[in-house]
Amino acid sequence: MARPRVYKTEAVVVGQSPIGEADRVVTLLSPERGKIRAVAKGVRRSAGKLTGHLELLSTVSVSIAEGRNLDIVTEAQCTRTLTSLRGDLDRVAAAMYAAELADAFSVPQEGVGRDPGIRRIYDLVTETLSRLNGGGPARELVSCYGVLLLSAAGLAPELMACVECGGSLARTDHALSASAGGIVCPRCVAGAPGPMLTVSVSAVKVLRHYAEAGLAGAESLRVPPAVSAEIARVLDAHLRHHLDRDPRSAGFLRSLAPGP
Amino acid sequence: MTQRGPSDAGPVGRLIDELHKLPGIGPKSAQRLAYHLIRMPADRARDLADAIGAVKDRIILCSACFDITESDPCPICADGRRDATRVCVVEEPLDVRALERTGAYDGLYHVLHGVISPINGIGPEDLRIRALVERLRTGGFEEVVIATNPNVEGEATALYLQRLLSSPGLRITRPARGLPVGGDLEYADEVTLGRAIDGRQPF
Repeated sequence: MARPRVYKTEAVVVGQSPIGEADRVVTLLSPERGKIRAVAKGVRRSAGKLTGHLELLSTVSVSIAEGRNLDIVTEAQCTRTLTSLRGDLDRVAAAMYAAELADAFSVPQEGVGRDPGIRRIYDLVTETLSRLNGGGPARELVSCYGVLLLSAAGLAPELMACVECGGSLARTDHALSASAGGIVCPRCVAGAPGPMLTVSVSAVKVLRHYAEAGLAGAESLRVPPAVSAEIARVLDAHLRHHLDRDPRSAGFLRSLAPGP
Repeated sequence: MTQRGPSDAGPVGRLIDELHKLPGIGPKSAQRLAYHLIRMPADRARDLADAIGAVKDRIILCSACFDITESDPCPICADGRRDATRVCVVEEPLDVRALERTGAYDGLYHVLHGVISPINGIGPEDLRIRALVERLRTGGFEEVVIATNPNVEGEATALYLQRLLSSPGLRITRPARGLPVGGDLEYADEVTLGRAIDGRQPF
């Protein structure tokens, strides 16, 4: 059956770039339809009817008309605004990083047989934004989000056993390889692929905690800056391996972080 | 995509393609403009071409505020009657024109030539921020008005500048936000409406 030409959906705005005189191409992440790229006309004029309703990071209820190349946003109503987030540089930088990753790890959903992972990514990014808006700790939330996003995409790093031989891990510094997909025990290091990172026991414990306790668990944890920096390195290595590039917003986010 | 027939190949096709690249010009408008130019007297068409050439040859960036100008320093920076203790930071040269049209601001400007947009890979180092810091250090300014656009990226840039520029004796301000003149209340988004209510004035 042909899809209707106009559809309605909930979505979070994860990307945007200006186009034409007063328009913007927005990248929306919808739990039903995955990633949508659509033109929002007149959204850069201060009195446009869509103006303010399609701001980056907002959750919106949109009507979209399918176009030949790009879809067109015909109506938009902001359902959740992140007012306090917008006033805090560290949190807004973390939120933009989260949005960029959600964009990078999601694809448009066509017809039947939709990927249930997309709803997990949608729930994950909206919960992260909402916790950041609520005043949650930016570094911990964004690191936990990275771990959970990799997991939602089926790319979670192996942290419980050696990824090569399945053997148990000693309570010492670990070698971790993004291309091998997790921690590699000392016996397997020589044969494992890719550059190795040395990761402390504390960093691995925090990573496991993030994977198990989720965002609520991350919010109640205060991670020392040195461990936080280690975790950021592990996540960066994994993201770089899977995306074939560094996340564009990582540089800005890290430049705001206090040194270890 | 530009739609045109086989007879349009060559100079006419090139003209249509070039016009189509301009902001706000679609394929049909590009064709209409091209055929208008073809019918135009040759000297008027050459005047237009000369004007475009002159703009490209003569326009430079002001070394103080980075606005586009024909002379360095630009007429605003060189105007001794303006309030040299105030500088207004804007994203683009067009924002200077918009603020000048209001007649409500008589200080100097600083054009960043963009906005911090981490998602699109634009960081502080890609903007004229270092020059702003240097200018504030040596210029004897008392107030910085951060007039970046009131969207997420503009506000992130403002917060970044606030963190970077904060120093005793320097007032950092943002233009007020609220309802646009001529708009309907029911179409205003929650952030705008909320801030308009927060910033209400005695009547």
